[in-house]
Amino acid sequence: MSFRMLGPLAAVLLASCASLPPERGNDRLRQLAAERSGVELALDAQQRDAAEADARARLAKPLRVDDAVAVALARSPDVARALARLGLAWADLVEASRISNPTLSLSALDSDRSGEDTQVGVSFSLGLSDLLVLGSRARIARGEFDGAQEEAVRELQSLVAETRKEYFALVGAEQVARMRDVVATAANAATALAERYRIAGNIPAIELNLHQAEGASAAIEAERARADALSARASFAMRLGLADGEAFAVAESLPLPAGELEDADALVALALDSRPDLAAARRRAEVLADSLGVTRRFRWLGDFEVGVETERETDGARLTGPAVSLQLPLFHQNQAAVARAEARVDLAEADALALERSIAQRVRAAHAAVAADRRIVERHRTELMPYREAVVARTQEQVNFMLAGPFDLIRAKRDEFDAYQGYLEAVRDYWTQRAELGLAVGRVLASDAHAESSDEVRATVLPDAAAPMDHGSMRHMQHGAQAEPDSHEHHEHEEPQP
Amino acid sequence: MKMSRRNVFQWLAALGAGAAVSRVARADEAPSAAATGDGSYVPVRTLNGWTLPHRVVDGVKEFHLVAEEIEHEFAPGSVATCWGYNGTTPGPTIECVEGDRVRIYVTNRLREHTNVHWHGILLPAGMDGVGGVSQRNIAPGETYVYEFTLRQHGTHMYHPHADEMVQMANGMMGLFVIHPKDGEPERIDRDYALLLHNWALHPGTSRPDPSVMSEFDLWTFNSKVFPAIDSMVAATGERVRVRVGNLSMWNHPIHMHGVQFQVTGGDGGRWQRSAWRTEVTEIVGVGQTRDLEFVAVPGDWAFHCHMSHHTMNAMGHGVPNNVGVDQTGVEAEIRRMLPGYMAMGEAGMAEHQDHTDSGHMKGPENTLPMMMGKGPFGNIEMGGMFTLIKVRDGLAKGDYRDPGWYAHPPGTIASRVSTNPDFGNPVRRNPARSR
Repeated sequence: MSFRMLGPLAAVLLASCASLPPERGNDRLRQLAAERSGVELALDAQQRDAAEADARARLAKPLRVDDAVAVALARSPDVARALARLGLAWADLVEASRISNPTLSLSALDSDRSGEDTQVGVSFSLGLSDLLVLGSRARIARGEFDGAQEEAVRELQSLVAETRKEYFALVGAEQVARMRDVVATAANAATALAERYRIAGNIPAIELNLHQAEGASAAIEAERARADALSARASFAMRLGLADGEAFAVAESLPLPAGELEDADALVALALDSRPDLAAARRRAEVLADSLGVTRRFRWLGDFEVGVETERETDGARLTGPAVSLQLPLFHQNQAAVARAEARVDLAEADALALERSIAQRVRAAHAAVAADRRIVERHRTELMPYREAVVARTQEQVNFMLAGPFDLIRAKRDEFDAYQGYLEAVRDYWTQRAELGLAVGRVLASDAHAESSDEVRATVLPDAAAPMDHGSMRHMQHGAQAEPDSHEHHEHEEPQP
Repeated sequence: MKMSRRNVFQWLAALGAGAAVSRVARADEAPSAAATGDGSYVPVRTLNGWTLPHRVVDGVKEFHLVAEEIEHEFAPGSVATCWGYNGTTPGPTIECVEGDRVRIYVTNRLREHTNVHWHGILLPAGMDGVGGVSQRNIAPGETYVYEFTLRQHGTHMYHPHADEMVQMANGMMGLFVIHPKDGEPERIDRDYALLLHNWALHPGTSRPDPSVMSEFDLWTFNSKVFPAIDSMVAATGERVRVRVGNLSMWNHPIHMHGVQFQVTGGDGGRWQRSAWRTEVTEIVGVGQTRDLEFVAVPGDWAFHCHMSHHTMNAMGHGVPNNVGVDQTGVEAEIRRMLPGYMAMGEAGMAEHQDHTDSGHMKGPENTLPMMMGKGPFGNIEMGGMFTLIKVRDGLAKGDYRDPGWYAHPPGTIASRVSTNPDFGNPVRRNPARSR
């Protein structure tokens, strides 16, 4: 085969190369990421610099959840990993879109006859089967790459969802930890008070011991909550891809949910339409079906090579001629390859179906969980918290009339704190579950735009650090009204309200 | 003595006690408390209460009691849904003269059956009013009639003997006073009557709890607590009788300041003079009545149950004892999370009324502070079974108006001589113990 024969072939190959976009599919990736995850992907150096600058600016202030997502996208190694994997898929695509390079073989054989030259052989061969299947192979590779892109988007979605979850877990954990500190302070106050009763001779040792034990338990709870918050902080920093020791803060309070959630049926439909991994699985099944076709078409074709072989004989003669080598389909006709390809198609189709089914179930389950968490949050907000606050207020009234003691009041307050912790956890679970739902649907939900109330979970139960500590003990006030007949008008007392 | 409708109003206006007026005003139809026969008498004055009017039909005194649910005020700030008769608890006093034939209609407007037992009165067994034993109970909506002749005198009571625990806990009770037909051995100028009771009106509630046997919240004279209990007013030198009946679940040592009284009667009627006893405290047992008589001495005199918890309004039991507990510093810590918290009672509870009276320490709804009342010298720090006997020179007969606070003649009032605790040289044992 002469080199001239290769001309048209090269033209075909070049044409197939030229059909690959020069931006390596990044435009589609960015579009998918924006559309499905609502995120801006930084792919080139300029975009990456801008994203980094943006991340720095966001890190300078307490992070809101959107800040956290932006920082994670700019910083997380998961993004780099996903993009690198996509690079591999791109390489596969490029490779599949080009014919294999021809093979040049050289050989030198020494003659055992003395005086004879070494026999030199040169051969140039090109796998012709490549040439025949190139079109199919490129199409298949394109499909594979599209799937890989979908998977990369899925990985980004996963990163966004995990970032959101860990963000809310952290805000919640820090809020709980602060509250547990207050509870420990309350228990400590009760213990201190019990000590005073004990000093006065008014309670037996066992009662003091009970208060001391409760105080110690509360301190332990506070330690645990602090450790949990630190652990949540570490996970979150890791998720964001922050450098060791890099400072950051998150918002002080969880936002309250707002707005209405989409209908479950609509979300299932949206998910089946949007989930990148489902698209990838379907694409893979298509690609494999394509491969099956190609395998069937060329099943008779074993390894078929054409080439040019030049040999210089030991006597110096030069022999040049075309060479063809092909496997003879005598013993098998690639039945194994066909069977394998068929099985792969079946497997891919089964995988896609299984994924489709599980997506529907997961979306429904996540939707139900979000709705349930929302109701739990509302019950906390509109019922449990007001009732617990009312119990404290009513107990205070009882204490005012000496119908209950200070320990009853502190107990009521601690119950209110516990309810508040449940409230915080419910709000945290709501946001976590909502991130889960977003991941299950595989697309930014329209309702996300109005999901956060401008109100936060603010604790009326927590003492305001800025509030004055004391209004003066009533013990020190003068109540000498008994002394004179004309001086029994009411004394003006300071109001105990803050 | 005959009281016209106008008289009654003057009488009521004179009373000046709003709560009492509103109750008694129901009796304005014909409060004919006039004596009949030859036994003229000074009508009983049921503190904060009233006497049931009657009419005479064929020589029989006819009364009509209606058992019903009512709204009752123990004192301003505490109102409850109770059960009573003819709109009140205690029900109106039935007042007769020995020898009277009485016919008493009882209409049941409750939602369960009831009956009336005429406690201590001698009558045919079938008139005794014990459900199941001596009569069928009076079903809701029904009216029964009791009729008997009064063969005795004295201070008596009436109450249900059907679902007795619930009905009495809810306030169904009344006094039944029978004057002797032959008059009194000693002329009586003022004849007060009151019925002792206890109520499990738990703080923050508005209906008595019949299940309570000992931890009661309110202790009442005629279903009122101090300071809503009328004072007993008398002119110096008048002979005053206080009839006390007890339908509560405790015995009450009734103590009178200022005089030694004589116990002159009880459930067994007016006692022979030889049986009269001189006392300053008389226990009136559960289900008993006692007549206490004394000659009025000028002044404002306390009259109360001597169980000190019975002269308190609703109290907490089992709350930590604050006396001697120094909360300095700790109080501030607690106030950080409970801004309304206030340390109280380190020195004792004397300060408590100042806190509650001033309104900055709000209590549970519908609940009275345990210590109440203001006198000319400051807080009276009482509640429950406490009132005053106010005796003044020259009050007109039948003038029951509150005469205000007593003006003590010079030199007859305790006065301050020092504000220094080291004053004088008193003998003290272990003086280091107190400051």
